[in-house]
Amino acid sequence: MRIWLLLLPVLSFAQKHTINGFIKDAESGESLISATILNLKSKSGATSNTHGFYSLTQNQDSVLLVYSYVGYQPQTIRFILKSDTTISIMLAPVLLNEIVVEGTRADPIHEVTQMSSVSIPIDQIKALPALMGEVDVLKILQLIPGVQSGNEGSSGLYVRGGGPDQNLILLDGVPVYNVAHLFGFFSVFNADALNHVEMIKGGFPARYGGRLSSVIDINMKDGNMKEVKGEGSIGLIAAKATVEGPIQKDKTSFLISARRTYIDILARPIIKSASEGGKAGYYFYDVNLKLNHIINPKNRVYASLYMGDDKAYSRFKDYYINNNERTDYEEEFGLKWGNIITALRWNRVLNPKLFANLTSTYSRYRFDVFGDYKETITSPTSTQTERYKNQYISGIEDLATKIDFDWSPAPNYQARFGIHAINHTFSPGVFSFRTTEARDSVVGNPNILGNEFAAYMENNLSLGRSLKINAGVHVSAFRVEKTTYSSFQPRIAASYHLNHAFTVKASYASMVQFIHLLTNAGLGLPTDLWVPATASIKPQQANQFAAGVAKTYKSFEFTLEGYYKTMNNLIEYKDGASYINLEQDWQDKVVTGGKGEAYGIELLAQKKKGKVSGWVGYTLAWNNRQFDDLNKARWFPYKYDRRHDISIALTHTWNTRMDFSMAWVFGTGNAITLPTLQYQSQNPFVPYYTSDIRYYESRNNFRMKNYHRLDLSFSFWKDKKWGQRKWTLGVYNAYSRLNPFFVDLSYDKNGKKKFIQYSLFPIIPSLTYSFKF
Amino acid sequence: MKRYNWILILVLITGCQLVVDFEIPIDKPKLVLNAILNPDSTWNVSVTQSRHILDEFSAGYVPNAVVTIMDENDIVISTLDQPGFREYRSDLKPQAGKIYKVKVEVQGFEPVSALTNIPQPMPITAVKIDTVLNDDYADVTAEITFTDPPEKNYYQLYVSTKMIVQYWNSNGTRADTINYLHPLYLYKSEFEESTSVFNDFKFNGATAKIKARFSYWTRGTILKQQIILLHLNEAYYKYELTRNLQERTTGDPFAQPVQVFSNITNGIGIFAACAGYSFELD
Repeated sequence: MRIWLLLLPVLSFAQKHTINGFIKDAESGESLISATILNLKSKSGATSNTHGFYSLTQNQDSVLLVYSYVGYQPQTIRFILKSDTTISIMLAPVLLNEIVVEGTRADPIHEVTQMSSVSIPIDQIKALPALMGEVDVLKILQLIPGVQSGNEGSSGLYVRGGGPDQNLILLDGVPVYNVAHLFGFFSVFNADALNHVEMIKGGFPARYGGRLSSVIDINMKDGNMKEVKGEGSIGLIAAKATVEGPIQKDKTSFLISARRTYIDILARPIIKSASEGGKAGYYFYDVNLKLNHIINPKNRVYASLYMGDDKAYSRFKDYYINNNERTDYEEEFGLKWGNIITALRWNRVLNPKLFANLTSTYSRYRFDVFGDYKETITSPTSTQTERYKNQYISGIEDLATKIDFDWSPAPNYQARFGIHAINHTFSPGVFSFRTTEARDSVVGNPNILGNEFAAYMENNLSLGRSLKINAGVHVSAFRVEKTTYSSFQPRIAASYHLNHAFTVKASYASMVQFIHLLTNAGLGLPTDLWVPATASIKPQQANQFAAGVAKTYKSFEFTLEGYYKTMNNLIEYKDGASYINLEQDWQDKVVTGGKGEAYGIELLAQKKKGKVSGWVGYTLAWNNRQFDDLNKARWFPYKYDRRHDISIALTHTWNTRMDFSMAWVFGTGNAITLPTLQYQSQNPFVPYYTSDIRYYESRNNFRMKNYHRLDLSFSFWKDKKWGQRKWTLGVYNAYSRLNPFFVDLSYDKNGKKKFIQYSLFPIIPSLTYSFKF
Repeated sequence: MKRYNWILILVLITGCQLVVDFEIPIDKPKLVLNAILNPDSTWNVSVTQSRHILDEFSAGYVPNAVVTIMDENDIVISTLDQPGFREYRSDLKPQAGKIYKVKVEVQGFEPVSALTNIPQPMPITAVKIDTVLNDDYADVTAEITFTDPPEKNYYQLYVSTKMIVQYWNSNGTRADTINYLHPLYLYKSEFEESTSVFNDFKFNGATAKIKARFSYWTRGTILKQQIILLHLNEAYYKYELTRNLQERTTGDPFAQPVQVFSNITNGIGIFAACAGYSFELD
């Protein structure tokens, strides 16, 4: 009850009217997300939502509104507010390179109630160095304090002690289950198709649920409403192109973006000659499509599609002749994985104070290993064909509907509320095989259906000039195999302004996750298996407390945050469990009831304006796990328990034709389990055979070497008649540090037993040509 | 399924593979006590010491250890002699149904100790054999029946074969009598994969019918063939399970390393027991 009292709006008795509308880019008509509207007279304001809509209720009086957004010229409007008023604003971007990379949001950091949140402009993501020149949103997020990268090159995110499955990664509001291309070295997000990226590490607003550790909310561009525009690039491993424009000016727009790697095409002749006619290769592609139609000022619909696949394959064909018989054989083996994500959305302004968004989505992640062997034996008298086919499929499929409302009834109170329903179909691994004689046979785990429901209420309150509170509750339920789990997740975040540039913040969030990811390699492999909570495996649960200070000093922003997070009901593979064992139920391969504890301090110093901009981040963290059935029930460090983590990301713009950026990262080495001793085994029935047993003192008892790396990027721009071109010279791992990937007990060239550290990437230069029109 | 490990190979060739040494500090060795007791055999305890993981040689020999056997009330039953290289022995035999404690004292090490119980042999009531003869070997499917007691129980199956084999060498034809003993592997889907140990989880307190498979060479003449049902205590079951698992997963980069079960206080190794029952095949 106390919570609900807290949520009551603070109402005053003066006559009030509402100003509402959309905030858009003047050149493209693109919605500007999280743009700020501030009434300088009352010192109160609002921000635009993910559809660019804002609503601000004010007392009947003279108002002086300032609309602002990073990288755009602010607009000021003064008038007497006598009735509800609709004002849609088009903000003009500042000319490219006059404003250099700017920081995270329009509001100064000390003005924002939300803590542990960062939004990075797409231009900044594109400006920073990238592995093989391929811009990767998730790799830039790894440079934020409190976010760790896992293994070398991986796009996996480990946020405040959580695992990669505990991130709610949303593309246009739809969860993305596998974000990895090329075994995790690249993410599925094509930066050219994106409008906005925001990451929340703690103090989660009540509208988000379903994962424990972070929310990464990624929005695709809506498509240019004014004119046809395009951009693209040709890089070391991939080429991509994006075209967007109006179908009907200011009414309907489209966006299409596609990307494909071409290592397989370039390497085909070499592989063909090396394998005497065989084919082998790997590629990935992805396509983003979006349609956006304004029915009238109050109604708008969107349709978006993401589709992407990775495929690694080998094909071989040959023949031999024996005893007057010719045998032709043909073998194909490969694996393929990918996502399909679709969303249909309808925005409606129900009244100036109330905005509704109805979304229906379908998403599917599928991993497929296939093999096909065909043999034809031809003799002078007969022909006989044998065929063996097998396939292993796992994945997850979601159908979801949600409706969300934004409500702004009073100058000092805004609310968000909504309901979500998701129907999950889990496929935890099904193996089928077919031979010439036998009919299809299927073994493995059958599909599991699960239904998830959630409702939330989120309230933004301003109590006086200094205290802002975001409080709410997220309730959810999950039904699977005749078992129902429910959860009540209170959330609260508050900020208190000590003076005009210094704010103290604190938050608490309870989170529940009904799905688990079975992974034992940590490589972002497609073999990772999404599985539901079941009658015997409970949902994951976390509590996170965070507190911090935010200070603005000239063009610098400083934040210092501490957090403490506990996690319950974690699962992990049993010792020695094999990731593909078709004859065993996945529930028998895991240990359950795990506990996690993560705590640490994060420091972020950020410069948003000027020729040099960027940030320096530092994290001091601890991250431990405990399972009754592992490590003799003792606590052990999580694989990605990283005591120190430093990141420096800087961009320097010399002039309108040239810029430079660098990123340097340092992290304590990952924890690893290695044997320290060996001893003889015992078998009374085979006494002459004694093998050596490896003795592990405890799980994750060693540290790999510290990880550090410097990446550089130089870009050269030139205006052309048709648009603009850019050459980007990138250097990944500039001083060629041999960073650890994994450590194995093996023998060196001299036959001496050794622990050998394998590293993946030495210095890798890249050259990318980009264009824009 | 090992062929799926080529995924890792693909990952590695996608980038460059660079190799550097990784140092492991040298820890003090631990005392290793190994003994699998059996009511049909005399006391035999192996005492060695662990070696650094990178050590190439089997230099774990520990001389002059004092090995004392006690009952569950700490009353000394015997102090073992050391007639062998690393074994400490006695002429006495452990008795089924009893609990024993062992204590080993070696200069320079903390004393180590362990406790174990000796299980009762579990009679096989029937064995049904189905043999498929091939060119020079036979595939045998055996259905073994026995009665499982109500409490938690653990088992392992062996096949013992005594046969005369003929072979040819530079001196002509020669015939020898050989004995071999090897574990019987169960049908995989029924129990833990690729191991010959199993628990009574699926038939606790009832009549058990276990299907197992083995093969033998048919070019020799079989003199005697037996199925042996070992009744294991819990420590031996856990040791065998984890030891097998470690052996099988070593070198697999996708598998979590396996810690082999040990019940030795202040040291490592195993102090466990089993009791066997032999059923002769026709």
